[in-house]
Amino acid sequence: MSLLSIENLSIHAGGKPLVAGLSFALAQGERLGLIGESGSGKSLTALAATGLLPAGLTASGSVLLKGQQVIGTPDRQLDGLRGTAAAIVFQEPLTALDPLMRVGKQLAEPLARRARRDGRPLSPRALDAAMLEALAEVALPDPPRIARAYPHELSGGQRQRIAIAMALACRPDLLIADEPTTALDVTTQAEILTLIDRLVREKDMALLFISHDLPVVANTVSHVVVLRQGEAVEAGPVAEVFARPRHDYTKSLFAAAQRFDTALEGGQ
Amino acid sequence: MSTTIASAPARPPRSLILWAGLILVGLHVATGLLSLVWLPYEPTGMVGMRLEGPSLVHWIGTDRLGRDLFTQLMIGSRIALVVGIGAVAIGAAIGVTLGILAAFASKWLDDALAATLDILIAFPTLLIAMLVVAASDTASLWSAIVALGIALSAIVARLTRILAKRVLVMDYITAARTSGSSWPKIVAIHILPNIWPTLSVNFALQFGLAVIAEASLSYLGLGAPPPNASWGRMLQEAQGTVYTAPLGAIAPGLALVSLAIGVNLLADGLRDSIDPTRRAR
Amino acid sequence: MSLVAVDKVSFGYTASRPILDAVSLDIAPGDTIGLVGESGSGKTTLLRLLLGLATPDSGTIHFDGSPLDPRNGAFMRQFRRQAQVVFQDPYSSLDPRQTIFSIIAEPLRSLRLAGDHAAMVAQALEAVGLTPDAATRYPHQFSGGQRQRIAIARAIVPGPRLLLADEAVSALDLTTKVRVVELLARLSASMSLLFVSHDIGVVAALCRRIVILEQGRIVEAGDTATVLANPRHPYTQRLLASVPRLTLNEAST
Repeated sequence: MSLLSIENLSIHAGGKPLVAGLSFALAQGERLGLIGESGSGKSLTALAATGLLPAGLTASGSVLLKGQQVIGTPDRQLDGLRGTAAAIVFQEPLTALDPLMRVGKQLAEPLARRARRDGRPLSPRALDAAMLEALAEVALPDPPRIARAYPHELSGGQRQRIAIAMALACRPDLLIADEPTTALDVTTQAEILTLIDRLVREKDMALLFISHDLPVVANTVSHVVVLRQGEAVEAGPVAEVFARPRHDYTKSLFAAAQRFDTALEGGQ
Repeated sequence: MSTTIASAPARPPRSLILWAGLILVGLHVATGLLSLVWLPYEPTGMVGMRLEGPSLVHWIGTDRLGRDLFTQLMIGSRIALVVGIGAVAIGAAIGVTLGILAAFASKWLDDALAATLDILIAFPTLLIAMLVVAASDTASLWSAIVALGIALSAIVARLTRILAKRVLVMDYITAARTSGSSWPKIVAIHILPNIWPTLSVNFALQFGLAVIAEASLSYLGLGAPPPNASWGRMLQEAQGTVYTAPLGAIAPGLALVSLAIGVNLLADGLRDSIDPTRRAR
Repeated sequence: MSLVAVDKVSFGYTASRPILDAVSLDIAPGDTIGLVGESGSGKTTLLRLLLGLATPDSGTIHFDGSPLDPRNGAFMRQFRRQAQVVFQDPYSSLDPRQTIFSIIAEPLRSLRLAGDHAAMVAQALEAVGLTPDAATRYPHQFSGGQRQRIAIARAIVPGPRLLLADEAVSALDLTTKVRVVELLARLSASMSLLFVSHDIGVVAALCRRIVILEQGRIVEAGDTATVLANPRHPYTQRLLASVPRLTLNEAST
């Protein structure tokens, strides 16, 4: 059975279609890249998958997350699903973290929630240990020091690692990464991509990786869906789509990426 | 299956807001202007029985001294407009200047100004106005207006400072500097137009605040002396008879509320119609 | 003679670590230079110094043979005409309350340049690939890529000899990025270009020379093709290895 199954998803703002007739499915351990430029509806799709669409937007079609219909289900019923079935890492880690709370405390919150839900609440000491372990898991150096820091005292890359640790705190089956490296430096981006790759593999999670940048997803996912103005124009295994892009839009995306790629190889 | 998650609350069309504001304010302006050349009765004359109800002779009745309420209401429109416009103009002139200077000042001076403004704002507008009036020799309409203007200027200055600082970090300010624009020019062309929408809404709120504060000053004997019948004075005078002759309090109260709402609607409508980013695409 | 000569410029010595540490850089007329650095490299500070928006703590900057002195009004007027800048964020670099015409004409007005401003604005719009009717509209009516073209039009309208671009294509979609890079490449035929970016791929496609900045120091500089083919400094090597490529690893296919 699919972990996430989206069928004929449409999202409207007023009468304006933002996503139209989108379908794809993702099983345990699979990795899918959702590629699109601004206005393609890729981020809205991620929000719709977890029932987090902002007010004013209407979704129709079917979104099954771990067998539960998301569209039309009251928020309260979805709360249990979020975090455990799917968790999201956003583009800007600075706005995803509370600026007035030490990161250790922020990270401890979902860990404690998960433990309570599992019916074995953690003692303060055990919670502290679990929090430090979670920091070490995302390869942050000196976890005790990081735990005492406020978000603004950390670098962009460190903040994104915290955001990933928080997303993983409830041990989700699906990790949704919405442009998680776009705000980061190139060298930091490479590190975060490696980290996501390792964590997804180790925890056997499914990954929905959203990006505007083909090269970023090239070695992170196995399948891609190319979105343009809310519609999927092409889908398939990465190797196949990259080797033989069929749609003109995919070709233009590919040509753009290739332009900088070949320049780097010295063939200006 | 399909569902509407939520829909944004509908806002009345902006032309409706603008027109409603124009009509309400226009009514008060017309009444105020008319009161300069024509009044139904002598404002201070005891022209009827005490506490008369509405009739064809006295449209909304008389007060406890037998003066015509409608006559006083008309004069009140004029006073309210003069007080509101005067106080906001003075508050805006001082406040915007101070706020812009603070936004440009060195960190030390800016901190000092910001702290001073915070302390001033901690005192009620009315208290500051009372002190200013007390400092001047005679209580008059003008001393009340100046006092209210100075009291409001602290609020305006603080808001202007914050808004200007937010605009100052935008790249178009740096682009203007590298285009050779001088700071005064940058303030006039880029900063003021971009902080105006928020400021103007604030001015409209303060207009209402000033009119109400003037009423309080009048009650304390620090406002406009008779025969300047302000709505505030009417309200205070009707206090004792509010159960026996409620119209004496309701009429000036409604007048005050209608002008305050009118000014706010007008400011909203004007802002929307001059703001290019809010116009239809 | 160089158009811009930066000689051992340092800035921010009061901080625990200087933001710029003895940076030297020459820009020859007609040169296209890519200044590559990540956050904390000091690239934005160097750009502010080059624009005369701040002055170095030590070292000198010369423009066209004269020292860059923000207090020298007569020199700065000439300098402003000849050195213009394009910023990263197309949403914050255009005043939302001005028409495109007054945005692009601002340098002409402020620098009191003679000539038919309407014609000059129309010409600048055409040069960046926009139609003349754009002049009467407002920034919010344009997409990110179009806004960046408008910002470029504002920069080229006074006829500068040096164009400074601060991450000018970083906020754009990939396909838009390619087109704006092509536009900049075309413009760089008639002026010097200093292209500041963290994106080494774009620099490779656009710039003849490359300068790598790490934590306030220039660690490597030279001909772009040479540096990319044979990066000597470990930081340059790491930077190059970090760039995501289209080529698929064997493991994932």
